[in-house]
Amino acid sequence: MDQDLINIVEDLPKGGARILLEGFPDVGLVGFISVSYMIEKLEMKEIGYIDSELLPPLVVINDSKVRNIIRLYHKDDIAALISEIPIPLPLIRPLGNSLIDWCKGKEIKEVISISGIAEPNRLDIDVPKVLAIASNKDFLDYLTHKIGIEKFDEGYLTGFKAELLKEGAKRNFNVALLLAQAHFNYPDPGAAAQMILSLSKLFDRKIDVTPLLKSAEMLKVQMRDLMRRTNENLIRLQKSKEMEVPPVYV
Amino acid sequence: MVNLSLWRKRFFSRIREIEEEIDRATEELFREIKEEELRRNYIIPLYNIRENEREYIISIDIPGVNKEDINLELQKDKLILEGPCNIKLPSGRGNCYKLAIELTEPIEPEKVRARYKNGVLEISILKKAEERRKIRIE
Repeated sequence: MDQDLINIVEDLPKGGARILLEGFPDVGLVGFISVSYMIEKLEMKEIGYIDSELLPPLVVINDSKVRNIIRLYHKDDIAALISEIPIPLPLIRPLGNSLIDWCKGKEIKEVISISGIAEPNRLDIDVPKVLAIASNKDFLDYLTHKIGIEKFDEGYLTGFKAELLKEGAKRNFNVALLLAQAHFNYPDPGAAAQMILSLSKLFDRKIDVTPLLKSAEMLKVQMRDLMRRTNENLIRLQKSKEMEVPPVYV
Repeated sequence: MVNLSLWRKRFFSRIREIEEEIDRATEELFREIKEEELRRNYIIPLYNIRENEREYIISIDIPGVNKEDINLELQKDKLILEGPCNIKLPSGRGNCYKLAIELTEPIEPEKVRARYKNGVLEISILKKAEERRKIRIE
Protein backbone atom coordinates (compact mmCIF):
# COMPACT_ATOMS: atom_id res chain seq x y z
CA MET A 1 0.00 0.00 0.00
CA ASP A 2 2.84 2.40 0.94
CA GLN A 3 4.53 1.70 -2.37
CA ASP A 4 1.41 2.97 -4.15
CA LEU A 5 1.44 6.21 -2.17
CA ILE A 6 5.14 7.01 -2.42
CA ASN A 7 7.08 7.33 -5.64
CA ILE A 8 10.88 7.56 -5.26
CA VAL A 9 12.37 8.55 -8.62
CA GLU A 10 16.18 8.48 -8.72
CA ASP A 11 19.23 7.14 -10.51
CA LEU A 12 21.37 6.09 -7.54
CA PRO A 13 23.16 2.84 -8.34
CA LYS A 14 22.87 -0.06 -5.88
CA GLY A 15 25.66 0.33 -3.32
CA GLY A 16 26.28 3.89 -4.55
CA ALA A 17 25.87 5.38 -1.07
CA ARG A 18 26.50 4.09 2.44
CA ILE A 19 24.70 6.82 4.38
CA LEU A 20 21.45 8.72 3.86
CA LEU A 21 21.25 12.13 5.55
CA GLU A 22 17.71 13.37 6.10
CA GLY A 23 17.03 17.06 6.75
CA PHE A 24 13.31 17.72 6.63
CA PRO A 25 11.96 20.93 8.23
CA ASP A 26 11.50 20.53 11.97
CA VAL A 27 12.43 22.30 15.25
CA GLY A 28 14.56 25.40 14.47
CA LEU A 29 14.90 24.15 10.86
CA VAL A 30 18.17 22.61 12.08
CA GLY A 31 17.91 19.60 9.74
CA PHE A 32 16.94 21.68 6.72
CA ILE A 33 19.69 24.28 7.22
CA SER A 34 22.44 21.75 8.07
CA VAL A 35 21.71 19.32 5.25
CA SER A 36 21.19 22.09 2.66
CA TYR A 37 24.56 23.56 3.68
CA MET A 38 26.27 20.15 3.47
CA ILE A 39 24.76 19.63 -0.01
CA GLU A 40 26.22 22.95 -1.13
CA LYS A 41 29.64 22.59 0.51
CA LEU A 42 30.15 18.96 -0.54
CA GLU A 43 28.93 19.87 -4.06
CA MET A 44 26.40 17.06 -4.04
CA LYS A 45 24.48 16.38 -7.24
CA GLU A 46 20.70 16.31 -7.48
CA ILE A 47 19.82 12.74 -8.47
CA GLY A 48 16.10 12.40 -7.91
CA TYR A 49 12.96 13.24 -5.96
CA ILE A 50 10.08 11.81 -3.96
CA ASP A 51 6.51 12.32 -5.06
CA SER A 52 3.17 11.36 -3.56
CA GLU A 53 -0.51 12.04 -4.05
CA LEU A 54 -0.46 13.17 -0.39
CA LEU A 55 1.82 16.10 -1.25
CA PRO A 56 0.35 19.40 -2.40
CA PRO A 57 0.71 20.07 -6.14
CA LEU A 58 3.73 22.30 -5.65
CA VAL A 59 7.04 22.81 -7.44
CA VAL A 60 9.99 25.12 -6.81
CA ILE A 61 11.32 27.30 -9.60
CA ASN A 62 15.05 28.08 -9.46
CA ASP A 63 16.78 29.82 -12.38
CA SER A 64 13.69 29.12 -14.50
CA LYS A 65 14.10 25.41 -13.74
CA VAL A 66 11.23 23.34 -12.33
CA ARG A 67 12.24 21.35 -9.26
CA ASN A 68 10.43 18.97 -6.94
CA ILE A 69 9.87 19.80 -3.28
CA ILE A 70 11.42 16.63 -1.81
CA ARG A 71 14.80 16.17 -3.49
CA LEU A 72 17.55 13.60 -3.30
CA TYR A 73 21.26 14.42 -3.67
CA HIS A 74 24.39 12.28 -3.87
CA LYS A 75 28.17 12.47 -3.71
CA ASP A 76 30.66 9.70 -2.90
CA ASP A 77 29.22 7.54 -0.11
CA ILE A 78 26.59 10.05 1.07
CA ALA A 79 23.05 10.59 -0.17
CA ALA A 80 20.98 13.47 1.21
CA LEU A 81 17.28 14.20 1.32
CA ILE A 82 15.66 17.59 1.89
CA SER A 83 12.13 18.95 1.63
CA GLU A 84 10.97 22.50 0.95
CA ILE A 85 7.82 21.93 3.03
CA PRO A 86 7.13 20.24 6.37
CA ILE A 87 6.06 16.63 5.78
CA PRO A 88 2.23 16.44 5.86
CA LEU A 89 0.92 14.27 8.68
CA PRO A 90 -0.74 11.57 6.51
CA LEU A 91 2.56 11.09 4.67
CA ILE A 92 4.71 10.45 7.75
CA ARG A 93 4.10 6.73 8.22
CA PRO A 94 4.07 5.64 4.57
CA LEU A 95 7.14 7.76 3.79
CA GLY A 96 9.10 6.41 6.77
CA ASN A 97 8.23 2.87 5.72
CA SER A 98 9.05 3.37 2.03
CA LEU A 99 12.31 5.14 2.78
CA ILE A 100 13.64 2.22 4.84
CA ASP A 101 12.54 -0.19 2.04
CA TRP A 102 14.30 1.99 -0.50
CA CYS A 103 17.51 2.21 1.60
CA LYS A 104 17.58 -1.57 1.96
CA GLY A 105 17.06 -1.98 -1.78
CA LYS A 106 19.91 0.44 -2.53
CA GLU A 107 22.18 -1.20 0.07
CA ILE A 108 22.39 2.02 2.10
CA LYS A 109 23.63 0.99 5.55
CA GLU A 110 22.71 3.95 7.75
CA VAL A 111 20.11 6.69 7.90
CA ILE A 112 21.10 9.80 9.88
CA SER A 113 18.19 12.09 10.55
CA ILE A 114 19.08 15.66 11.53
CA SER A 115 16.90 17.80 13.76
CA GLY A 116 16.64 20.23 16.62
CA ILE A 117 15.42 19.67 20.14
CA ALA A 118 13.51 22.60 21.62
CA GLU A 119 15.47 24.36 24.36
CA PRO A 120 13.43 27.04 26.19
CA ASN A 121 16.65 28.67 27.48
CA ARG A 122 18.33 28.70 24.07
CA LEU A 123 18.98 32.45 24.37
CA ASP A 124 21.35 31.79 27.27
CA ILE A 125 23.26 29.01 25.49
CA ASP A 126 26.20 30.12 23.34
CA VAL A 127 27.24 26.67 22.13
CA PRO A 128 24.27 24.35 21.72
CA LYS A 129 24.78 20.67 22.56
CA VAL A 130 24.24 17.93 20.00
CA LEU A 131 22.68 14.72 21.27
CA ALA A 132 22.22 11.32 19.63
CA ILE A 133 19.72 8.49 19.72
CA ALA A 134 19.76 5.44 17.48
CA SER A 135 17.63 2.44 16.61
CA ASN A 136 20.10 0.07 18.31
CA LYS A 137 22.70 0.30 21.07
CA ASP A 138 25.78 -0.60 18.99
CA PHE A 139 25.07 2.13 16.45
CA LEU A 140 24.40 4.65 19.22
CA ASP A 141 27.66 3.74 20.99
CA TYR A 142 29.57 4.07 17.71
CA LEU A 143 28.10 7.53 16.98
CA THR A 144 28.54 9.02 20.45
CA HIS A 145 32.13 7.73 20.59
CA LYS A 146 33.06 8.86 17.07
CA ILE A 147 31.52 12.34 17.34
CA GLY A 148 32.11 12.82 21.05
CA ILE A 149 28.53 13.72 21.92
CA GLU A 150 26.07 12.69 24.60
CA LYS A 151 23.21 10.25 24.29
CA PHE A 152 19.64 11.48 24.33
CA ASP A 153 18.69 9.31 27.27
CA GLU A 154 15.12 10.18 28.15
CA GLY A 155 12.18 12.00 26.61
CA TYR A 156 9.63 11.87 23.83
CA LEU A 157 10.21 12.25 20.09
CA THR A 158 7.45 12.86 17.56
CA GLY A 159 7.04 13.27 13.83
CA PHE A 160 8.82 11.86 10.82
CA LYS A 161 12.12 11.39 12.67
CA ALA A 162 10.39 9.35 15.38
CA GLU A 163 8.76 7.23 12.69
CA LEU A 164 12.14 6.55 11.04
CA LEU A 165 13.65 5.57 14.37
CA LYS A 166 10.73 3.26 15.14
CA GLU A 167 10.93 1.58 11.72
CA GLY A 168 14.71 1.18 12.08
CA ALA A 169 14.33 -0.49 15.47
CA LYS A 170 11.54 -2.74 14.18
CA ARG A 171 13.42 -3.83 11.07
CA ASN A 172 16.90 -4.02 12.57
CA PHE A 173 18.19 -1.20 10.38
CA ASN A 174 20.67 1.47 11.52
CA VAL A 175 18.78 4.73 11.97
CA ALA A 176 20.14 7.57 14.10
CA LEU A 177 18.72 10.90 15.08
CA LEU A 178 21.10 13.77 15.86
CA LEU A 179 19.49 16.62 17.78
CA ALA A 180 20.94 20.06 18.40
CA GLN A 181 19.53 22.29 21.15
CA ALA A 182 17.58 24.94 19.25
CA HIS A 183 14.94 27.64 19.32
CA PHE A 184 11.55 25.95 18.95
CA ASN A 185 9.93 28.69 16.86
CA TYR A 186 12.78 30.36 15.01
CA PRO A 187 15.25 29.23 12.36
CA ASP A 188 18.46 28.47 14.27
CA PRO A 189 21.60 28.64 12.07
CA GLY A 190 23.77 28.61 15.24
CA ALA A 191 22.39 25.20 16.19
CA ALA A 192 22.79 24.05 12.57
CA ALA A 193 26.46 25.10 12.65
CA GLN A 194 27.09 22.93 15.73
CA MET A 195 25.31 20.07 13.98
CA ILE A 196 27.55 20.44 10.92
CA LEU A 197 30.66 20.35 13.12
CA SER A 198 29.38 17.05 14.56
CA LEU A 199 28.72 15.68 11.07
CA SER A 200 32.23 16.76 10.00
CA LYS A 201 33.64 14.52 12.73
CA LEU A 202 31.34 11.65 11.75
CA PHE A 203 32.26 11.83 8.05
CA ASP A 204 35.92 12.75 8.60
CA ARG A 205 35.46 15.78 6.35
CA LYS A 206 36.34 19.32 7.29
CA ILE A 207 33.41 21.63 6.65
CA ASP A 208 33.88 25.32 7.41
CA VAL A 209 30.80 26.81 9.09
CA THR A 210 32.03 30.42 9.00
CA PRO A 211 30.02 31.33 5.87
CA LEU A 212 26.90 29.86 7.47
CA LEU A 213 27.36 31.91 10.64
CA LYS A 214 28.10 35.03 8.59
CA SER A 215 24.84 34.67 6.67
CA ALA A 216 22.83 33.58 9.73
CA GLU A 217 20.76 36.77 9.96
CA MET A 218 19.86 36.70 6.28
CA LEU A 219 18.93 33.00 6.52
CA LYS A 220 16.68 33.66 9.49
CA VAL A 221 14.72 36.32 7.62
CA GLN A 222 14.51 34.31 4.41
CA MET A 223 13.37 31.17 6.16
CA ARG A 224 10.65 32.73 8.31
CA ASP A 225 7.83 31.57 6.01
CA LEU A 226 9.04 27.97 6.04
CA MET A 227 9.44 28.21 9.83
CA ARG A 228 5.89 29.55 10.16
CA ARG A 229 4.49 26.59 8.22
CA THR A 230 6.74 24.17 10.08
CA ASN A 231 5.55 25.55 13.44
CA GLU A 232 1.97 24.93 12.40
CA ASN A 233 2.86 21.35 11.49
CA LEU A 234 4.78 20.84 14.74
CA ILE A 235 1.75 21.87 16.79
CA ARG A 236 -0.29 19.14 15.11
CA LEU A 237 2.48 16.63 15.77
CA GLN A 238 2.26 17.38 19.51
CA LYS A 239 5.90 18.49 19.25
CA SER A 240 5.73 20.22 22.64
CA LYS A 241 5.54 16.68 24.03
CA GLU A 242 9.30 16.56 23.38
CA MET A 243 9.77 19.01 26.24
CA GLU A 244 8.00 16.67 28.68
CA VAL A 245 9.67 14.02 30.78
CA PRO A 246 8.17 10.55 30.50
CA PRO A 247 6.85 8.96 33.67
CA VAL A 248 9.22 6.49 35.34
CA TYR A 249 8.59 3.01 34.05
CA VAL A 250 8.86 -0.03 36.27
CA MET B 1 -29.03 -1.26 18.98
CA VAL B 2 -26.12 1.07 18.13
CA ASN B 3 -24.71 0.67 14.63
CA LEU B 4 -21.00 0.91 15.49
CA SER B 5 -19.72 0.85 11.96
CA LEU B 6 -22.00 3.70 10.89
CA TRP B 7 -21.08 5.69 14.03
CA ARG B 8 -17.37 5.16 13.33
CA LYS B 9 -17.76 6.25 9.71
CA ARG B 10 -19.53 9.45 10.77
CA PHE B 11 -16.98 10.10 13.49
CA PHE B 12 -13.98 9.88 11.13
CA SER B 13 -15.77 11.86 8.45
CA ARG B 14 -16.34 14.65 11.01
CA ILE B 15 -12.65 14.51 12.05
CA ARG B 16 -11.65 14.94 8.39
CA GLU B 17 -14.02 17.90 8.06
CA ILE B 18 -12.48 19.55 11.16
CA GLU B 19 -8.98 18.97 9.79
CA GLU B 20 -9.95 20.56 6.48
CA GLU B 21 -11.43 23.56 8.34
CA ILE B 22 -8.17 23.98 10.30
CA ASP B 23 -6.16 23.74 7.05
CA ARG B 24 -8.31 26.42 5.43
CA ALA B 25 -8.05 28.76 8.45
CA THR B 26 -4.27 28.28 8.64
CA GLU B 27 -3.83 28.91 4.94
CA GLU B 28 -5.97 32.03 5.23
CA LEU B 29 -3.76 33.29 8.07
CA PHE B 30 -0.55 32.68 6.08
CA ARG B 31 -2.05 34.46 3.09
CA GLU B 32 -3.03 37.47 5.23
CA ILE B 33 0.49 37.68 6.71
CA LYS B 34 2.12 37.60 3.25
CA GLU B 35 -0.37 40.09 1.77
CA GLU B 36 0.23 42.49 4.63
CA GLU B 37 4.01 42.17 4.28
CA LEU B 38 3.99 42.65 0.51
CA ARG B 39 1.47 45.50 0.47
CA ARG B 40 3.14 47.55 3.20
CA ASN B 41 6.71 46.43 2.48
CA TYR B 42 7.56 45.40 6.03
CA ILE B 43 8.36 42.13 7.80
CA ILE B 44 6.02 40.54 10.32
CA PRO B 45 8.48 38.69 12.56
CA LEU B 46 8.07 35.28 14.14
CA TYR B 47 7.20 35.49 17.82
CA ASN B 48 6.28 33.35 20.76
CA ILE B 49 4.29 34.09 23.91
CA ARG B 50 4.71 32.13 27.12
CA GLU B 51 2.78 33.07 30.21
CA ASN B 52 2.25 32.00 33.76
CA GLU B 53 0.12 33.52 36.49
CA ARG B 54 2.81 36.17 37.22
CA GLU B 55 4.08 37.29 33.85
CA TYR B 56 4.16 37.21 30.07
CA ILE B 57 7.44 36.22 28.43
CA ILE B 58 7.38 37.27 24.80
CA SER B 59 10.20 36.55 22.40
CA ILE B 60 10.40 38.05 18.91
CA ASP B 61 12.86 37.02 16.20
CA ILE B 62 14.20 40.23 14.64
CA PRO B 63 17.65 39.52 13.16
CA GLY B 64 19.59 42.38 11.60
CA VAL B 65 18.41 45.16 13.90
CA ASN B 66 20.63 47.43 15.99
CA LYS B 67 19.54 47.29 19.63
CA GLU B 68 19.48 51.10 19.76
CA ASP B 69 17.04 51.27 16.83
CA ILE B 70 14.38 49.01 18.34
CA ASN B 71 11.25 50.94 19.21
CA LEU B 72 9.20 49.03 21.77
CA GLU B 73 6.07 50.57 23.26
CA LEU B 74 3.17 49.61 25.44
CA GLN B 75 -0.17 51.16 24.51
CA LYS B 76 -2.70 50.07 27.13
CA ASP B 77 -2.93 46.33 26.56
CA LYS B 78 -0.96 46.30 23.32
CA LEU B 79 2.77 45.72 22.83
CA ILE B 80 4.03 47.48 19.71
CA LEU B 81 7.39 46.83 18.06
CA GLU B 82 9.10 48.60 15.20
CA GLY B 83 12.69 48.30 14.07
CA PRO B 84 14.61 48.85 10.86
CA CYS B 85 16.00 45.64 9.37
CA ASN B 86 19.55 46.14 8.07
CA ILE B 87 19.55 42.97 5.99
CA LYS B 88 19.39 43.50 2.24
CA LEU B 89 17.11 40.75 1.00
CA PRO B 90 17.56 39.56 -2.61
CA SER B 91 13.91 40.46 -3.25
CA GLY B 92 14.66 44.04 -2.13
CA ARG B 93 11.53 43.92 0.02
CA GLY B 94 11.04 44.40 3.74
CA ASN B 95 13.28 46.99 5.34
CA CYS B 96 11.47 47.23 8.66
CA TYR B 97 9.94 44.90 11.28
CA LYS B 98 6.48 45.68 12.59
CA LEU B 99 4.42 43.77 15.10
CA ALA B 100 1.54 44.46 17.51
CA ILE B 101 0.60 41.93 20.18
CA GLU B 102 -2.56 42.26 22.24
CA LEU B 103 -2.23 41.13 25.84
CA THR B 104 -5.36 39.64 27.29
CA GLU B 105 -4.71 40.34 30.99
CA PRO B 106 -3.99 43.64 32.80
CA ILE B 107 -0.27 44.34 33.19
CA GLU B 108 2.12 46.49 35.22
CA PRO B 109 3.46 48.95 32.59
CA GLU B 110 6.33 49.96 34.92
CA LYS B 111 7.52 46.39 35.31
CA VAL B 112 8.67 45.48 31.82
CA ARG B 113 12.16 44.16 31.09
CA ALA B 114 13.64 43.51 27.65
CA ARG B 115 16.90 42.11 26.31
CA TYR B 116 18.17 41.58 22.76
CA LYS B 117 20.58 38.75 22.01
CA ASN B 118 21.54 37.01 18.75
CA GLY B 119 18.64 38.56 16.88
CA VAL B 120 16.01 37.58 19.45
CA LEU B 121 14.23 40.17 21.58
CA GLU B 122 12.90 38.80 24.87
CA ILE B 123 10.42 40.84 26.87
CA SER B 124 9.02 39.96 30.27
CA ILE B 125 5.94 41.84 31.40
CA LEU B 126 4.55 41.48 34.89
CA LYS B 127 0.79 40.93 35.15
CA LYS B 128 -1.21 43.05 37.60
CA ALA B 129 -1.34 41.08 40.83
CA GLU B 130 -4.83 40.07 41.78
CA GLU B 131 -5.85 40.35 45.38
CA ARG B 132 -5.33 37.03 47.10
CA ARG B 133 -7.04 35.67 50.21
CA LYS B 134 -5.82 32.69 52.14
CA ILE B 135 -8.39 29.95 52.63
CA ARG B 136 -8.32 28.07 55.87
CA ILE B 137 -8.45 24.29 55.48
CA GLU B 138 -10.67 22.60 58.03
